[in-house]
Amino acid sequence: MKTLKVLFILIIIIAAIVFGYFRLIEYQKETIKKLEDKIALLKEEHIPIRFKIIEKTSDSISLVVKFYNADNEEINKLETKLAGQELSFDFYVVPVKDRYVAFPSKLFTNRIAAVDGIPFYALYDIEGFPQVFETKNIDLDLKKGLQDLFQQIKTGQVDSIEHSFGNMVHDIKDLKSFMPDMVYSIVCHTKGGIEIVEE
Amino acid sequence: MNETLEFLDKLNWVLKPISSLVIFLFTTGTGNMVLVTGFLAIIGLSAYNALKERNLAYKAAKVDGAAYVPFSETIYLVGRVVAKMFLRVITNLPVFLAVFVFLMMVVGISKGIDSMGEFVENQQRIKELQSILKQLDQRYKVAEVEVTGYNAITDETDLVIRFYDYAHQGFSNANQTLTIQGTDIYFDAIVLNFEYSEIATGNAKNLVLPYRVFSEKVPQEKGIPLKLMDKNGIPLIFKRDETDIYGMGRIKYSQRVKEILSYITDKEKARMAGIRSIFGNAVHKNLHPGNIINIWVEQTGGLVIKDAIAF
Repeated sequence: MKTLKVLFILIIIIAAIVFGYFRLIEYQKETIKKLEDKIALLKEEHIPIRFKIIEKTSDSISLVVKFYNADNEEINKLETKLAGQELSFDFYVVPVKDRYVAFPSKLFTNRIAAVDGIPFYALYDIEGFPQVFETKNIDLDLKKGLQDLFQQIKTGQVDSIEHSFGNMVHDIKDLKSFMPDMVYSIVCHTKGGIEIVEE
Repeated sequence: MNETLEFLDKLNWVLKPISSLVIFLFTTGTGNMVLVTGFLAIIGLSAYNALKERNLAYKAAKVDGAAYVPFSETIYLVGRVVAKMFLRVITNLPVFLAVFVFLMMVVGISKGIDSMGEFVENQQRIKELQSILKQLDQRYKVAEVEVTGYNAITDETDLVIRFYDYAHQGFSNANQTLTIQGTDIYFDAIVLNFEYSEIATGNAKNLVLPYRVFSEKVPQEKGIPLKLMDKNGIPLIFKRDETDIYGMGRIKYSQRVKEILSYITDKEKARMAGIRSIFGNAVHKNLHPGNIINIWVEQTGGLVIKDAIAF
């Protein structure tokens, strides 16, 4: 009788976990679905990041990274020094309908593995909203959808976001290296592709 | 146009040696020396002839033939020859000028024909490079990646990468298998942006060439190179079947693709070609055994990952 009781409780727990998991997946799909209706409201291209190399030696790079919202207003900045010769800016990309929504995720170099890079999310997270998408008169449903998506990405629940992937851009020291005192912009195209442009 | 060029080439067959000789004589130190030596040789020969004639006259006047032209007369004779020569040059100056102008015209025409040929050749080259970019400027599949295993103890992921060979419209037989530490696998590529280039004809064009794999645990500098090239150095994704190449033959196509690829390693060539930027772009995803993903290059020039099942 006791065994049956334990078994029953176990089944209930497993069922709750499975239900919870599928509910979560369902919720994520709903988030994407809601976003699909409003995604066209996002700008076709925007510049969430600009950066300037302050100093570059043979084994380290000092730089300032600034974050901007969709209206090109500065949100936050980061000053840091990293070991390496090439800078890599990583993004997490979620395909929504025919668009790609890119969230800046971290900074690392050719010498520092991604896992040891500097995470970006906290630098543009204002009350749970990814401020890089903020614009005057933003549609509230779009805002809510982006906020929910950001929440999942921040907490690492990315495996269940269908077709999502990471996208990183970097310079190549043997071909064209980022130069000190130059300002570079990272342009995100919502129709696919992230590129680095010299200003 | 081609007939005209052929005719001009034939004409240049005659004009070019004359033009080269004129340029050599008037623009190089050796050429100038040859001209001056020639002029001095003419003066010398004329003086020698004058002296010889006078010598003969002296010999004829003396019966034993032992008479010589006096030194003072020799100086006078040489001076007269030099003066005559300068006077001849001055009196014939219009003729010399006319000959000089004519020779310069020959040089000009010959150079003009050369430049025209070069211009037409360059135009053709640009046209072919434009055509290559147009043929490559589309959404195309780069590779299919299958995760064949994962070792939880060593945290290593085993991958099989099948590159798409567009000449055969299918996967190449030469798969690449590799093992890398970590599970978030990055597929890195070089992006060439031709936006400012003449061959991009004003539109933003990106050419993407995948080249290495690394992971969240393996930094880029320790990444594993991708074996994407065929035996002739053409990336499999840029190969095309003869029937799919338009505007040129397969050999010319390969030649032009190689020319574009040379921009990656030659900064000066890249600058001359007007390449706006060269940067790296990697896509990555957390992969587990059994996962099969496709790596695509979008028309905008961005790399994207799609689950294989979506196709």
